[in-house]
Amino acid sequence: MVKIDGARVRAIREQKGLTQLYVATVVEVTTDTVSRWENKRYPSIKKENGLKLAEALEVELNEILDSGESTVPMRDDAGADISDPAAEKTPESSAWSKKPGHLGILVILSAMLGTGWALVHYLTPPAPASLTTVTRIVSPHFIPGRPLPVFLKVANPSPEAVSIILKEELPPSATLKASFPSSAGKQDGTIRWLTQITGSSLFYYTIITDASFNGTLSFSGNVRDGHGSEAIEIRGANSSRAGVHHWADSDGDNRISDEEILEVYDLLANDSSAQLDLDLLEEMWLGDGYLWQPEQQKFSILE
Amino acid sequence: MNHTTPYPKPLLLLPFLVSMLFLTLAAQSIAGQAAATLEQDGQTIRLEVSVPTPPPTSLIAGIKLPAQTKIGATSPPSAKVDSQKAHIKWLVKHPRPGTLRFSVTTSPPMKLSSVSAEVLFRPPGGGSLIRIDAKKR
Repeated sequence: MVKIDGARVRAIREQKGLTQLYVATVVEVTTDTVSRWENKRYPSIKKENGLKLAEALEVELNEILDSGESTVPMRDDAGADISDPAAEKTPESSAWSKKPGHLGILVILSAMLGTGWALVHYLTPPAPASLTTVTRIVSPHFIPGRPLPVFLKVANPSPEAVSIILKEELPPSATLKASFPSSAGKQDGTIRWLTQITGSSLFYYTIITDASFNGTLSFSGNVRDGHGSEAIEIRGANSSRAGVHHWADSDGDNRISDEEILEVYDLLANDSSAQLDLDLLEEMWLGDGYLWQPEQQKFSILE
Repeated sequence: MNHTTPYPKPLLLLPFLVSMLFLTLAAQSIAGQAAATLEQDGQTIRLEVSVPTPPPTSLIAGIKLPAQTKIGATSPPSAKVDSQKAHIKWLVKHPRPGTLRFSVTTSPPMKLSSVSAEVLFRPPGGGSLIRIDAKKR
């Protein structure tokens, strides 16, 4: 058991712009429980939950513990301290120790309990990972100063709705322009969605770098769902390099092919909130090709 | 002498049930298939596309004429026309299940045997690109 500082928990949560629902989902408790923790109605919580709470708040465990106390002694139902050797010196325990027969039974019971614990510990499979998988789709190249969309295809085999927390770290050189669904929260360079999905869903965001940027953007993120306690990394493409080719021109041949424009429309489907100039993209497809004019910061379309 | 069959009677129905299931699935597959047909009416070349159910997010229909063919009006008008290659393409966003009709007039009239057409789309929910060649009527 650990004793947490509820006020500190609330302060960190609010400072990071996290909701009680988000924290409750990560720790796998109800929002009522989180509220009770914050209001100091249950200051002592399981260490496992304390660790999850710290993870949800993205801090170390000791940052949310009550000052001066890292752990609190475990007590049995009667309130006796069972983690403190001194607690054994109760009249009852003294009486037990005075009777060799009873002591033998206690030793046997302890051995059985220990064996049982060891069996459970070693035979129980490790905590399951999320069933949800996420694949990142991002162009291998982009033009600095122009929007670059990053698509996250989320899939879950369950036919029922599943709660997920999807996190993606934004490259330090990039600025977030738009996200879909727009319910995403952004804090400390991380964009996160807490939502429910059924089957497959598409999430995406659009970033932009300074026009003078000349390097490679790296992406990383993970997903956690209600089925598993471990977050799993997002698969797929994880970098994009600054260049002179439009992000939709995936093979970099300076033309938008039938396949390329169909892929873009399939990904974006009904949404146009990504701040992407699809009319320009269609003009590029209609033309014979395009060239990026860095001095004018615009595309010229070849007819 | 006992002439009883070596199989339990319910198993005799199995081939019949499997056949029925196969026929049902085949019928469903045909109903949901995309198709394209090409026909000629004087100077006009017509392309009819059957949009499958569920429909794709977008599709491209294209007609290829012999090079240097003089291309006249196209319907719908918003088409990608490559005059040198004599290729015409239409990008259709959010097509509905049913029939889409495209046409182009040429000068002089073309022989249907020298014309070809195709439809490109990705199946809903992802997958590799599907390319369907139009059948000539």
